[in-house]
Amino acid sequence: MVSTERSVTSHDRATDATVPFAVVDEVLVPAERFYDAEFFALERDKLWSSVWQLAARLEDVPQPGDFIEYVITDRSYLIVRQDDGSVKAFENACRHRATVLGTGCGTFHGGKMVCPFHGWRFELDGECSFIYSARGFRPDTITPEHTHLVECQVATRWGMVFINPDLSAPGFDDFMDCELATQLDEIGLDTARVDWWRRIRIESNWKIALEAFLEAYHILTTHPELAPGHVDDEYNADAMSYCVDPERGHGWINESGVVSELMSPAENMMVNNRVMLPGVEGWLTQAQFDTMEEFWARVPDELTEDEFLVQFHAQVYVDGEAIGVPVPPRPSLGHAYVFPNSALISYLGNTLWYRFLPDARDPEVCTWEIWCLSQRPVGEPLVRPELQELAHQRELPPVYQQDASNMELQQRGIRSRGFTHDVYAPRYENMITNMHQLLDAYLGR
Amino acid sequence: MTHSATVVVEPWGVTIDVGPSETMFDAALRQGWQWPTNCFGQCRCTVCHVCVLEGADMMDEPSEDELAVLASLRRTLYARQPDIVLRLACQIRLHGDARVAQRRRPQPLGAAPNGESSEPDTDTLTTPEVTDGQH
Repeated sequence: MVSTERSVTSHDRATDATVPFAVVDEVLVPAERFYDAEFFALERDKLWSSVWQLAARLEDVPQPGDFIEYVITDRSYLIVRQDDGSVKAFENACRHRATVLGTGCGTFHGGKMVCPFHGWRFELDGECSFIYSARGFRPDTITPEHTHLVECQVATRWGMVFINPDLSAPGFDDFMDCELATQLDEIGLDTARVDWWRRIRIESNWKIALEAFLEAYHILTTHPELAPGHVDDEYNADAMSYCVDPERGHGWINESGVVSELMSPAENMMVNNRVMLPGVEGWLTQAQFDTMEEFWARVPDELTEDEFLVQFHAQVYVDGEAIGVPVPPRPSLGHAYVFPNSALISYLGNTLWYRFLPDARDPEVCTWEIWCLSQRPVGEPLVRPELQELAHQRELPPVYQQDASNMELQQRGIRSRGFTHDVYAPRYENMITNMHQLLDAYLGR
Repeated sequence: MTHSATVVVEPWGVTIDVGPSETMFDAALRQGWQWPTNCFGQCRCTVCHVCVLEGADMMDEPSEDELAVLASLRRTLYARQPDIVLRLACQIRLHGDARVAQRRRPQPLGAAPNGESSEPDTDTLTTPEVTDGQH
């Protein structure tokens, strides 16, 4: 595995001639990929049916028998907590006449999943254990291989449940075998719990929505409050370097330079945190924020800015230990990307994890979900989080309203005459171009 | 299990302890009973229903879904007993003791499902006396 900073991704990934609107020149991505029905159907058949994907949080199924339905494109899957604490995933269809066995989320009581149509019963592990009046069926049609629920591959990591419907696909550890996985291990996802979980419909292709979080090049213009008073190159787009795994599609950002000559690193951090706390309600906790302001008030009389940065962060760790909510070893993670449809940022044990889901039928509609996670006392029991469906973009935190607005404006322009392709900067937008190349690799199989 | 409540199931004299975070149906299964059901706790089949004799006010209010299911039961099996208090065991959550009646004798786990034991099922619809908590 090779991770390359600001890399040009591997050129030797052969483009399959059968993939329509394939990426030929990696920085030029055909516009049709964001609206074409045939391309959308190919994604459904070749990507979503055979890729590892985030299906649920472990908190969604806290107790044996608890289930949550995961819907992706036109497929429904059941994520079910087993008696031994493990998690299984099934195609959500009774083997009799395809009725889905569970919708939304809930609990299968008594360890039985019961089809609401004719009452076929399944154990939590998918075994069909009761067929009403089985005597009426031809015996060879109701043998276990015909009646056991169809399973998916399942992996649990970082408090998340990942599934892959393709039983022949390489395992999750192979899928995530890159530097990013180690980074994700170090930001406290296992001990984090959901503060809030929101979902909003976006009128854009799922990739357009996702791509808003795969580069920081947009910050100056889209989020001016994060670059206050800066004009053009005063805000240094080269302060971030973008790393990708060309084999697996994942990506992450490293800070590699000074973002601004007008703001010191400490001032930049203050700006970021003052915007992000009210802005996204979860970038850092109120207690961490208050500690930061207390230390900042001592600059410059008692502390230099460098001392402030060191002492504030050290204090957060001390405070975390004192209240029994330890801060994880890695203090921050800039934007990171888990192929194909998750992106996240993390700071001082708080993580904002985004998932982008295509609509069942319309290529130009998607769902954007946000989990806001923070640390809890070690061993705190799992509690099922409540999904909040947002009806309007103005219900999003302000920073996210800016992103959401761009997604829909971009989709509106994508069919314009003469607009044949998106142009990406390999230096700033290579996480995106790498994603498109990996996507083609899946679609060409 | 702290604060557990006790439900006596008549006319069988079966006693079930119901914890604060479980339904009466779940509690019965946990304690080794095979409570009658087709849908297994999905507020659908009505087979688990009981007539509440005492302690209806010790039960959480029924949901709209449960009320809808109970209404159909009231129009059919219980059309001649308008004053009877019905609840679904799979929806009952308790904060105090209660006494209920159930038409079928609860069977130990491992017996044939839903009381289809080798013994002939002789119990008929009981018409218990309702003593309080009418809805």
